[in-house]
Amino acid sequence: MRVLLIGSGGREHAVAKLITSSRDDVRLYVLSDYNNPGLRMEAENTGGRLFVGSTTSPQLAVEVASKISPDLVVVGPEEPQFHGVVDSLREGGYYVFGASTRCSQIERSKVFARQLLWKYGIHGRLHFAAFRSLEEAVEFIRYVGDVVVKPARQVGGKGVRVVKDTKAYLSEVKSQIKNRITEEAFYELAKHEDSEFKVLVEQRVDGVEFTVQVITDGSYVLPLPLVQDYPHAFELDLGYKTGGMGSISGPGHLLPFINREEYDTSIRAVREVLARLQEEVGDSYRGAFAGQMMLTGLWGPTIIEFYSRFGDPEITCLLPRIESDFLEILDRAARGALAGAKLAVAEDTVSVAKVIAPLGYPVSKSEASGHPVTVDEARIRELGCHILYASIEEGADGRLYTKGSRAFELVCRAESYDEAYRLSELAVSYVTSLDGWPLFHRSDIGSRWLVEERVKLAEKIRNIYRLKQARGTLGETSTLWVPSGGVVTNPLLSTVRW
Amino acid sequence: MAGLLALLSFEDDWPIKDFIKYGLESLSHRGEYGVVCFRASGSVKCVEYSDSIPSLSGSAIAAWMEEDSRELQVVERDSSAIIFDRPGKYVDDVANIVDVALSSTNIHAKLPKLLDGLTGVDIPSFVALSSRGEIIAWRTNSGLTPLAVGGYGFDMVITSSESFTIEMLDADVRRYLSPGEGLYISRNLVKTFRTAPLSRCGLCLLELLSIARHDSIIDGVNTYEFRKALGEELGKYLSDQVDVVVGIPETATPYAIGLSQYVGAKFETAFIASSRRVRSLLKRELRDRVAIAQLKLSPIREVLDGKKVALVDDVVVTGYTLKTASQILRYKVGVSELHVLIASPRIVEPCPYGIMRLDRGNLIAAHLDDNSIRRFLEVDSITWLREGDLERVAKAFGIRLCGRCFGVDFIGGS
Repeated sequence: MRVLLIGSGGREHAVAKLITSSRDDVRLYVLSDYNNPGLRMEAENTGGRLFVGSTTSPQLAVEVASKISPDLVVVGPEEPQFHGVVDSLREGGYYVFGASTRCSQIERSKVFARQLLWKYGIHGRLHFAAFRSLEEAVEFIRYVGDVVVKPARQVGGKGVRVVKDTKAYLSEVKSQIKNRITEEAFYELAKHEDSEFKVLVEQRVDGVEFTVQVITDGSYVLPLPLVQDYPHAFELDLGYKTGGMGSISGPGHLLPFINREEYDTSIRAVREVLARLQEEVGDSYRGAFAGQMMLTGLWGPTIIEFYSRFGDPEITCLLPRIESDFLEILDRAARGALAGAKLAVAEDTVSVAKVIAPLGYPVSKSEASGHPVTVDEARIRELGCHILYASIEEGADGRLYTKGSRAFELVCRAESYDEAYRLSELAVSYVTSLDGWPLFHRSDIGSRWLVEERVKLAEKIRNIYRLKQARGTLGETSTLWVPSGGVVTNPLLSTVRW
Repeated sequence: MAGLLALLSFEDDWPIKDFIKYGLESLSHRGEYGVVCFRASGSVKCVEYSDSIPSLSGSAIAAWMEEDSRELQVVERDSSAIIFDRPGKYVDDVANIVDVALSSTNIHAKLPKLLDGLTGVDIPSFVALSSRGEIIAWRTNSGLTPLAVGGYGFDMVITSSESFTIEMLDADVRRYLSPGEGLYISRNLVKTFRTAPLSRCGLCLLELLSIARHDSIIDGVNTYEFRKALGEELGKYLSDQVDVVVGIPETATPYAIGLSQYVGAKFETAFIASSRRVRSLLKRELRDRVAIAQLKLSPIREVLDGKKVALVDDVVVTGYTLKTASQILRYKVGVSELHVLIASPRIVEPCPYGIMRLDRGNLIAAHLDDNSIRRFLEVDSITWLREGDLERVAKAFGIRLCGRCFGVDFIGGS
């Protein structure tokens, strides 16, 4: 089977490995924004090749496809979807695994996604308000309580700042910050004309995050095992929001802190969103879909965001655990013939994925770029782990250079978290900097301590939402009486915090 | 000992002065002198804390300490400042090491090696700030004092001697550092590092008995629960029937509640404090100790008039707080019986680690037997918690404690 994979990073490298491990005789071609040596090797090992070019150009995608006549095209990231790459390829008669432009609205437009949740009363929806003008938003923000301010369009996860605001004595400085964030979001979105709304204000919730990923052909939905992703840049869940510094999965389809009932509720919500989305946009969804969920006291499983693709590093985490022929599943989804598909995973195993980034990531891309690094792939293979190349480019001198973002992803599988953690930490040591520029990773991801912390937090949250569940008040926030102001029911405006 | 606070914001736009202000406020029971160090024109400057300090951004370290401690616990160098939570023999050496480490790269890898060069000596916990705005927070290798780490969303890291401070700043406690564990915090990287803990280490028993707030959690132990459990242990020794159980405000309250629940006698509020919370434990002048005792012991007479009273306190140092309380209860209120119960054994040795800066001459239990103490206090009985009771409770909470001032090396263990 001839496969064209579009995308440049660690997620695509993980998908490439899953594709090339098929029983089928695969010839893999890749269209990547840069010369990612990991993707190039995967392609060349199958007799295919890597094309360097813009992954968001529909013309280029069609041009490359016409050269190689693929039986299947797999589109990894969201931006090509937003730019019509999937649509053009389908119009050209190719089978494509990836959401169409219309379907990918669920990720691109946060306002569209939330409106959908409210229109259909889907479980786990949060109160929000969306604004087209800066003046309107700033005026509203003067009165808001404990909220999250986000750009209304997906901009690679940028611009989301969580200003927890539960202490009245610190509220004044927090208001200043919220105003600034609002202004920045407007500034950022001025670059994107495809978003009517610019800023979104949403209820802030606390809890345990997890990602639900599914594969669908538009009618049949095949759930993948849950993954927990760790967005903080640094150890102890400290520092910047990143695309994810690592992830864990297993055993089975669950996580140690998410039970079967919560899993089922989450899958039901995701299924319903997929069904309603297709009704709304009048198009069939063929590709990967993910819900970024959070277990909260308000709802139990709660919807934070959607991705019209596999999560990164979420799919990496599943790479060593998937036993089915993944290419066959992607192919069946693309052809609308997924019905009855099963996904076999190594049930009794867990996996730990870690990201290695150059110092400077995620704030100073220029500082973090251009550093030569080396990988001892043989030693990593000896451990039974996989290494995936992300923001890494092969230079003219044949050496590997950082490109400023997350450089590598490593994933190890074992029968226990202790063992997977041990292996992942060892594997990390086989990636070294050649010019002394520090590389960093989170040594706490996958550790017993961090897993147990999540278990404790989830248990606390479970007690809270179960009480609401028993009273039939899931998702409801209390109304508020304001002296001389009357009753306020909009939870975004609550001045009482805890 | 001092209450330490360190804060770094990853974003430029946070005015962090308010965070320092409310953070220090939550540590004010640890002394009477506030100090804050921040970056100023290429170096680090430390000043006495007041509302008029300049607006701050980026990072800062601060502490609340005993009035005369600045000389002993705050060390300023060319490119850094460091605040220790207690005095120590090696503070200057450590300040030099930290200053050297902070002027290099790969600090989280270099610093532990340098600190481990001071093999086998007790080094107090500290927070340090470099002229580049980096922070190092390190927990003493003896484990005597705690240090908690917290995060405010994606925006800030906060470390403090008390977990409560982190929550007060709207942040979440992530973890308690282990003995000898440190944290390097900069805008580009946060990394934990480990130095060798001393082979003999444990948390200061006084920290858990008396110094930390009731709402703090130390090394996973909720101080309120721990204190209440000791109060219940005391109940076993109360042979006389009493009408009410009262505690010296406000540290002894959970002990008194534990005791009252165990013996089935009413717990009552007997005293109202007239000033903000000040620790007589931290005072070295006798007159200051009595003054503080009097300021916090305004009695509610009707509750106690003519009653048989069990009076509970956490620890006894000079005995002057108890003496003041007993005089008030005997002569102002007119109780019929007064039984004193102490939720710890006798303090008989000065602290070799500088946590409580009192010499042996001040320790009543080091000089008088129970009979003499009873006569001095004018009480009907005095009961001390026994080492075995403490041992049992400490083990149940899974914590190992230093009991040097009580005349034992270690208590409990996990």
